[in-house]
Formats: sequence, C-alpha cells, structure tokens
Amino acid sequence: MSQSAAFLFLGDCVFGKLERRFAMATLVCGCNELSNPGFDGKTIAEVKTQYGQVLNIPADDCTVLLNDVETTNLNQPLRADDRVEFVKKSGTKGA
Amino acid sequence: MNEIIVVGLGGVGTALVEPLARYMEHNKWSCSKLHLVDGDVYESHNLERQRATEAELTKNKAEVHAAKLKALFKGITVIATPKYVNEQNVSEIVGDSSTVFSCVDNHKTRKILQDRCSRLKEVILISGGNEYHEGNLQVYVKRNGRELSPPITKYHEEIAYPTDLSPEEMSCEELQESEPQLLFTNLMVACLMLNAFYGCIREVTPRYHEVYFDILENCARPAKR
Repeated sequence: MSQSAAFLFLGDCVFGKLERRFAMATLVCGCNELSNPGFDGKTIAEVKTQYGQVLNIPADDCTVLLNDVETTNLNQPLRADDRVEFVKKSGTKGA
Repeated sequence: MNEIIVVGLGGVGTALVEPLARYMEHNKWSCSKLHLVDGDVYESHNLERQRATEAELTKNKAEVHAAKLKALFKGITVIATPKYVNEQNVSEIVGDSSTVFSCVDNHKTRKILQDRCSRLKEVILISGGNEYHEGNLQVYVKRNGRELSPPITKYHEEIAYPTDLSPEEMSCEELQESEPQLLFTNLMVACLMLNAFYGCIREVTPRYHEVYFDILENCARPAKR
C-alpha cells in the first residue's frame, strides 16, 4: 500500500467511525425538525409519543414517511441516519 | 402557457393577484391572460384581511378584482368568472396549458382542482392553505403528460378524501362560522405561492413539492418527495 493510500485508508477508518458515532435519526413535522442520538433504537410510535408536543405532531393518524417511503409499521426501531417525517395536514383556510 | 387561473379571491388570492398581474405585465413572458374565479361576494367581516373597501360590499370578489387589475395593467387580459369551482364546471374553467393558483378555503375544491389537473397534459397547480399562524403550499407540475411531482392528494388524505363542504354546499350560518384567520398568515401563503410559481416557470422540474411554514417561528421548510 502506498503512503497516500494508507493515509486515505486511515482517514476513512477514523472519519467513518466518527461519522457513524455522530449520525443520528431525525424527526420532521411541518417546518419543525429535530435530530438526536437518543432516537436510535426507539420505535416510531415511541418517538411520536415522546416528541409529539415538541414537534407539534398531529395526535390523530397522519401519513408517516421513513426515509421518504410511506410506512404504516410504527413499531419499527429507528437507526442512525433514519429520517422520519410525520406529514402535517394541509392548511384548510386561505379565502 | 395559455392562461393563469386564480381560484379563490379571499385573504390569499387578493394578496397574490396584484403582484402576479404586475409580473405578467412587466416581464417578457408568453402568458398574458389572467382568469379570476370566485362565487363569493364581499361582506363586512372580510374587510379585516381582504383587499376590499366598504363600497365593494355585496359585490362579487372575482369581478371586483378583475376591474381593479384591468385599470392598473393594460398589457394583460383579465377575466372574471363569478362562480365557485365544482365538478360540473371545472373542465370549462381549467384547460390544458394552464397555471392554477388554488387559494380556496376547503379541501373539497382542492381535490376537484387536482383531479382536473391530473387529466391534463400540461399544467401547473400551486395550492396554498393555512390555519391561524401556520400552513403550507403544494406544487403539482405535469409537462408533456408526465407528472414531475406527486399530486397534492398523494400524502394528504384530508384532500384525497375530503370531509368538508364546498362553499356552495354550506349554509349561510356555516359560512359565517368560519375559523378566524390572520392577515399575516394569508400574506405568507401568497408570497410562498408566488415564489413557487417563479420556480416553476424558471425551471422544468420543481425543486420542492411542498413548503411548510409557521409565522410565529418565522420559518419555512421545503419538502421534496
């Protein structure tokens, strides 16, 4: 292995680990967004209950997107880098 | 683009039409026909948010604004249809190669507009809505028969299966009992809708499909799905 390749390999190991260490799931609802390493391992239903008020998540059923794909399985545990969007209902008024 | 249609001349629609008409008049652009659609008339409780005067009370909203815009902008054609959009007349109102601004206050009409736009080959639908201090806008673009963004009903069951009534189906009491709104929230929706319109005429594919905002937080988040 050349010296530069060795540096690249070492850099990838170090920064890859750092990236994994700091990667965290993100919850989104309306214009609110919250990332926290504490979300990892919790289910979508758990974070919905726990952070519902902070993020203003509708109490009734709403469409849930996990990494931009619609899901109905709210018992799915979150992993680092997951992005969960609780789709906020459209505004009714305007006229 | 054949024409721009603004459906709903309430708090959002009235804030949107003047800058839109000004843009149409002063920018070299292929569309110069602006079509305003609303079956409602001005009432005194509208004056706190909507651009009307006491002299315009009892007059049709679309006709009032068409007259105002005609006087201000001679280079564009402004027409008014003093009717609510419904399943029977939507195909007469919204034709191919249109840009539709949905500034209505009910999901039933939003669904009618989306269903009509889905059947067209070339269309832009920009739909806005708000609650008291938050809201959203959605963008649906179809070019050459190909959808470049999801229909506004896609992730929104409240629009796909509306449980509310259109203004035509509501009694006078129900119309009067409408939830209060804030002028500044209406202005925010109008502004975001115009930004989305500019994006749609500047670029083929929309950069986002929805924008959420909250005026108390003073923030907006675009979402692409």
